[in-house]
Amino acid sequence: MRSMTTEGMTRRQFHARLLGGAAAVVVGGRRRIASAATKLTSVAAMVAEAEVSWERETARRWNQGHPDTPWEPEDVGWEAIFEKVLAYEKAGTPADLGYGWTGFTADWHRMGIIEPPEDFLGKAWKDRFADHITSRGGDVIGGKLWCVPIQDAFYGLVCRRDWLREAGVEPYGIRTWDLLVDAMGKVARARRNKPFGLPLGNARNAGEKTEWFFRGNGLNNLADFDPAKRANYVEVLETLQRLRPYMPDDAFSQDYTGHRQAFATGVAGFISIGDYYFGEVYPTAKDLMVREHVVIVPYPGGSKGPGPFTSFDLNSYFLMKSSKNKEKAVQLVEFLTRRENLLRWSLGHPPVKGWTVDEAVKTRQYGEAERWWLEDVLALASKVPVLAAVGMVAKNEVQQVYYEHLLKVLDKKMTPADAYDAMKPKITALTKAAGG
Amino acid sequence: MAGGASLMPAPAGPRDTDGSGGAVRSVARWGDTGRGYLYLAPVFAVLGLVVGWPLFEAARMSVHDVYLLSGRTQETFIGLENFRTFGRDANAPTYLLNTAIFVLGGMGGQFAVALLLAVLLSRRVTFAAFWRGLAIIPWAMPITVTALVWRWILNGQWGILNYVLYELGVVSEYVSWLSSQTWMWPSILIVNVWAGFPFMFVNLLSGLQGISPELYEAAQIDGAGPLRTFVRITLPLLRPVIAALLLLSTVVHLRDFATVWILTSGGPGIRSTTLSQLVYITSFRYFRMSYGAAIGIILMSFSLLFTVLYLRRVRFEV
Repeated sequence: MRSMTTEGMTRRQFHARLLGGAAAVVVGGRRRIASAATKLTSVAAMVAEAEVSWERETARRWNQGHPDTPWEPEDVGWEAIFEKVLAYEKAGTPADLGYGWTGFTADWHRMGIIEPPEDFLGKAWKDRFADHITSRGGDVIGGKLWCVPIQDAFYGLVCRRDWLREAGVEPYGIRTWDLLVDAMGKVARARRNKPFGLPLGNARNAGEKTEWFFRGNGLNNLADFDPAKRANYVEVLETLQRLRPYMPDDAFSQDYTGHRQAFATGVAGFISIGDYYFGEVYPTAKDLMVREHVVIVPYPGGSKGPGPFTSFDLNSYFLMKSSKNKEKAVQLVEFLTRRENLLRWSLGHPPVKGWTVDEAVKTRQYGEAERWWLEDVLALASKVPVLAAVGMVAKNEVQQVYYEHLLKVLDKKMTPADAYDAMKPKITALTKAAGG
Repeated sequence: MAGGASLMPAPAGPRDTDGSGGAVRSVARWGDTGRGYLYLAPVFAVLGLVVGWPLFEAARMSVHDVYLLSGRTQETFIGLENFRTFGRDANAPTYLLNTAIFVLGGMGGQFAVALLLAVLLSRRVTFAAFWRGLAIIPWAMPITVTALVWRWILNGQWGILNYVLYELGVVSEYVSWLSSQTWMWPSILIVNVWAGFPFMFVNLLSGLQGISPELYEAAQIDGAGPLRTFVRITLPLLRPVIAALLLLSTVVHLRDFATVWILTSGGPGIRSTTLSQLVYITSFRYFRMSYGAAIGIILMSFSLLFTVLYLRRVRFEV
């Protein structure tokens, strides 16, 4: 007896189709497995709208041209990226590309987990980037650039221009630390608030956001305990202590996000941050981020420093040494750093040679709205020295020691000189143990 | 007894004619025991893999020097040096004190709130089921979500708590709940109590409902007031439940990481850093894997102590 299915198929036909379907699934699965074997991975910290959309679009473009080696980016919060990259390394499943910023490079180089892309792509690739990027700074070690620059950022004090106007202070006139303390006092009196923003809720943020004081007073970073520069270091701590009355108490529970929100919501009026801040805050504070309200000015200098200055650091992918698809990963690095892709990146400013504002606003996410900011950023870097961020090893632990002592100084439980003397042996031992 | 795993001696059967019945039974019993262990083998394998091996690895690591920044492959045996280092750490008393505050404060707070609510809601009240359900809701929320929501509520600059208190005239200026010396621990403990009391509440409520109403009636006839009844009848009869809950809660609080981490990240400074956070920070922020393992072993020892007490109590009750 012939048994029929609902569509009049014979049993044999039904089984043949079933078998065919199963075979298709198996073959498809195998194809997927085959492609998974050559898939490129990255673990990054794209969080802001501009970062997420850039990575998504860039991945789409790469995948369109390279169906045999698709790139599958993974993202985590910026607080976790350093550890996440290392966790993958330790687990033996390294991403092909890691991600981070200048502060990470020294540690990762020391651990031997990254490779300089120029070893594979040569001088022509390196020449794509602005000279200051390839010649100095924490990403250049032994004359080689150890990262894949995506974003360059100049740093300064982002200020409420309208608050300064109200207090009768000229923004670009804040050229020394004394003038900074004086300006904070005037604004505090005019607005009856505590206007100086500083995230003191954890060691990493406290360390990173006070780092500029060290560079501004002739020191490399907060781990610079050169005995000849003791007075420089002590002056940094003294200045922070003098600024304490103008720091809101809530600063002691703030992380980076809270810090930048404090500015965006009008709680703090002066924060140290890179020029990527525009792209981070613009989507939620369009009315604030206009020339009338906000200005980025150079960092004021300490008495032993170079005077007003800006500094730079990079956000970068990193070519991981133990990448299992090195050749393809190098191709991806080349693709990511093509001029058209870097000009589309919408935080900070492009790390490429000779970019112009006209060129950038054409392809960046916020277009003409960002023109005034980019003009100010270029002006900032043309008027004052651009100092390089200098990395340090055992960064997290060093920052923790510094942070604990900084809090004591701010609480006036310790003098700046005593804090220096207490920190010096601890931090020196830490950097030495980590091979610094 | 069903199956062949009975430990009772079986009578000699008709085939036991050559006097070798004992040996046969013994072999059979060993066979049964072996089969039993065979059935349990997957459990042992999984436990060994996910508990035993990591535990062994942590213990092994704690007596070595593993510092990722000095090279991932170097492991030098250093005996108990990591434990001595912790003992010499000037911050160690603060970490231990913070842990004690969190464990005792959290456990005590949760217990007090849970007992109060359990006593109130064990009576005949209108919409009892609704109130009981409401009390359990915090338990249904993942702790990460709870802590994040509370961090927003307690934010010193734009948190809703400050807004409400300021508008009501309770505070004259915004309070930094999560960084102030005065308010930091109370704030953390309030979040912990809010998130954790339902577990105790449910258990205490079920304990209360197991107490015979006749005892209360007898006490009433004897002229005992509510307080006396509570102290002389309710508390003694709840004692087994309370003891088990407090021991469990101690272990849970000792290993709790998320609440404090999400609220304060252990800061400002180390003012709210507990041992469980220190394990994470030391291992994964400072990359001192072996030192982190040693602190983990110290923390585990505390937990183990209370776990043993709990298990002994459970066995005793059984």
